[in-house]
Amino acid sequence: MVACIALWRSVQGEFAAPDSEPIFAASSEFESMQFEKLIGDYGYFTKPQVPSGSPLSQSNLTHGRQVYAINCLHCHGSDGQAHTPTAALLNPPPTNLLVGPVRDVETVLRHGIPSTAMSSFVALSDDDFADVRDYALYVIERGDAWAKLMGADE
Amino acid sequence: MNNSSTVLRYLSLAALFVTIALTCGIGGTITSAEVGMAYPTWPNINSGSLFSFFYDELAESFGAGSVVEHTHRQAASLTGLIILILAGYTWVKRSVVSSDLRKLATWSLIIVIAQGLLGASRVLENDYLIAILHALGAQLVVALLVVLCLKTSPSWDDKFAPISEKAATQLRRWTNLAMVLLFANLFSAASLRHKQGAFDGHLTLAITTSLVILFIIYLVSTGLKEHKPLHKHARGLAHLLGTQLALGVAAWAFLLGPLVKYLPDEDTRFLVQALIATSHLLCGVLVLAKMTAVWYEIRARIDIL
Repeated sequence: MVACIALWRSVQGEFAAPDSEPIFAASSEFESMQFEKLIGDYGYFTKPQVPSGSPLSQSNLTHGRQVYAINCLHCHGSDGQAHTPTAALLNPPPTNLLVGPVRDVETVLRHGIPSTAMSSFVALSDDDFADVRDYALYVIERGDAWAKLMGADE
Repeated sequence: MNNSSTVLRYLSLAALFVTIALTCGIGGTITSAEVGMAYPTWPNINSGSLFSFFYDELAESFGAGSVVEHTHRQAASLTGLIILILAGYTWVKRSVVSSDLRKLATWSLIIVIAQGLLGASRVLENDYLIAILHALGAQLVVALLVVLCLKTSPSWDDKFAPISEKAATQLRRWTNLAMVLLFANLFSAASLRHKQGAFDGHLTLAITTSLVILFIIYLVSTGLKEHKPLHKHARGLAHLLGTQLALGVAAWAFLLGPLVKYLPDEDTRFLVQALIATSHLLCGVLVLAKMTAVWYEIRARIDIL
């Protein structure tokens, strides 16, 4: 009986992926202030929020982050910049979601990128697929917002 | 021991060694490093085939992860080739080879082919359930090869003092239970390794399985002192189980638990975690191999009073 319940948990239980917020080290006071603004609008990678009015504001980003931590983090990294040991073993390297050219996230997740380690994720459940897609869009949007905030420096 | 038995014994031992040390070892490393999708085609890659030894070109074109994946496929092909020769030999020499051995070798071949197809599907479909079944299939191949090694052993026909029917039934029941639990545990471990299951499920199954195996070791140690091979297997099983439990605790502490924060940077974390997780997997395969040996010895070699 115990073994049956344990086996069921092994199949149906949710994996609690180890996840930690990447450490941001500001190089100037200005950068530190801009980072505070970014956090105010977008929250942390591990506790995401989006400004009202964004097309993503209704998404379940917290669940999206969990799915991301299981399926994407080892290549794309906790901060989406793809600076991970696994990424270093791949060629072409995984896309840096903050500055990468990938914008059609839905198509990439659905079909993958041919001849690369980025494969299709259609095997995910509909909810997982939608939430991780929205989380990837959130990371991209957050990267754009950061670029704009830093552009204010010039 | 005649010539055919010697050939079969060496082929079985070679297949078992290649399966555990190379195919499972490298396969476990792939999952630990998460480079299973380092290149997404099968069976060919770039301009080469499964049998190309173009590691430098591969590393340059697809990164070091693809070399690990390619080596795993080559090791698996070597396993398949040895088992193909083994199965073919049992059919060519069917007049002198027992039908039991022929059936075992044929089943090993069928399962190893299915394993290859599952491995291909895992890459082409990127489905975690297939990955988990692929991991489980490897354990089945190991178990079959252990039985083949035992049955081709020169001392297989040695006789030992018979035991009472009650004791034999008790041992058979417990070892059957241990085998079922071990495979369930391996399923839960593969599920956890592919981040698809809850940790508590694997932990509970690991504790339950360990308790059952410990009880079997106790039964063998106290009730079957005359049966030297079984005694030897039980002692080996005890050592492996102890090592496996220690590695399990280390895996939990360094992968999910409180010691992760003491690993200074991401590269060190990656190396330590990959090393511990792969060692835990390999030790698990060895526990299965030893338990299969105990299970089969009790099933096939115990005489009843």
